[in-house]
Amino acid sequence: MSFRSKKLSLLLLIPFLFQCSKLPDENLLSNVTQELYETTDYIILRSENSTPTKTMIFYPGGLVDPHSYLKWQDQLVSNDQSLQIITVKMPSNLAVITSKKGAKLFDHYPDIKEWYIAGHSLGGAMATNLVDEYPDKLDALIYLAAYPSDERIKNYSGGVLSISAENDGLTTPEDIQERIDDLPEPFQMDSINDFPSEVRGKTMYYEIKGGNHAQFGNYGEQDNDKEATISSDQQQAILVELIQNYLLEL
Amino acid sequence: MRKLILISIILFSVNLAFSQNWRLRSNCYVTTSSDLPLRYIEGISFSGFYSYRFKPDTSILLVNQVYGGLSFSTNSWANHLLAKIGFSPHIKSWKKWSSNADIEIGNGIALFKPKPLYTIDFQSTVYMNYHTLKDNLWGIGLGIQYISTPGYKKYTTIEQFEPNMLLSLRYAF
Repeated sequence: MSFRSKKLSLLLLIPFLFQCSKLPDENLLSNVTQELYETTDYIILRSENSTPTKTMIFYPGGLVDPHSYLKWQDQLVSNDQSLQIITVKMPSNLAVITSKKGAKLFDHYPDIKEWYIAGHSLGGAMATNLVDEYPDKLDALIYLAAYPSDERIKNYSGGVLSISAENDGLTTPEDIQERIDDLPEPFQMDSINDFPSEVRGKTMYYEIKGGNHAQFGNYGEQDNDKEATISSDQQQAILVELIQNYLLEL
Repeated sequence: MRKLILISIILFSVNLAFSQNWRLRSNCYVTTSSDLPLRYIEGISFSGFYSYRFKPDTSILLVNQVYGGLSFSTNSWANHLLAKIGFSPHIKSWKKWSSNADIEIGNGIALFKPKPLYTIDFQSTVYMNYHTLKDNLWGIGLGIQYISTPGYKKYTTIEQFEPNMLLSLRYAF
């Protein structure tokens, strides 16, 4: 994209700066069991009394408050105490404005051995930019109801996990399928334990039956989404177990 | 509740006064890169991290030195819409120089769903102005700003008090 095109794209964003972001239930934070640190730019979740060796950078969905994902993140960190999750706060809650903000974390945690990036919806699409810029630094990319806009990371040698939901009305299963050629070699998972012998250099696809777009977080319903036939707790339990299994395979 | 104080500098602030009664202002605040201990939390250093606030606003002179207007700002976690009222007293004049102040308070909302959150904003700036031959005016300002959204503390482990030191350039014609 040329500099001029980028400037025009930023102008198109101006109307979004006047939009509302979705807040999660205000009791969400009181249920967090792991250590939570927060700055103006980052939310850091990690186990108490442990030194993390793995870090997952997380980009929230567009116009979604970044605290909305703490419930399942808390469970994931609770299950794997070597993992910390750093959610990146985005200007106006739009990852498209500063899609490489997560890169600032690399220098601050020199002892971290494995880096992953995950993102929901727009956040996932923008996470692609960080992988494109730092392919050797990032061991895996995890899409939650998201896909790349082009084939820049088709030859990415790390692992890609694409998690979608059957009743997603915004990032539909058809959308995911249409972009399959933009990502490394596809592998359709039949269950959350169904991995090939080598997951790096491949894209794992898993669709959560009965799930929808909004239930990847806890910010309530979303316009144009379809009705889920499983609860958000059920969807997020599958999500946690799937990510956990995947990280063990890397 | 952990407390965090941010000290910020406006690196870019432009005031355009198209007439004596109407003004458009655009501010972009960037927090200091800071190795400041204030930004250390529980032993985690965040030196070199930046956050920002972009705040365009417009105001109109209401009566005497009192003005009112709307401002919009966006920072790392929310967009804000504020109605503000301010007082802009003249302080002193010299031959080609003058000095005045802006003291304003804004009340409004942080744009959230399902319901917006109340936000209060305070800003005070002192300007030194240089008057050119064509009656144009160039000025530089120094001041402080504070913004708070009390309801958002339910969602965050930090409390934000954000005094900003302003460096402002203004141009009137």
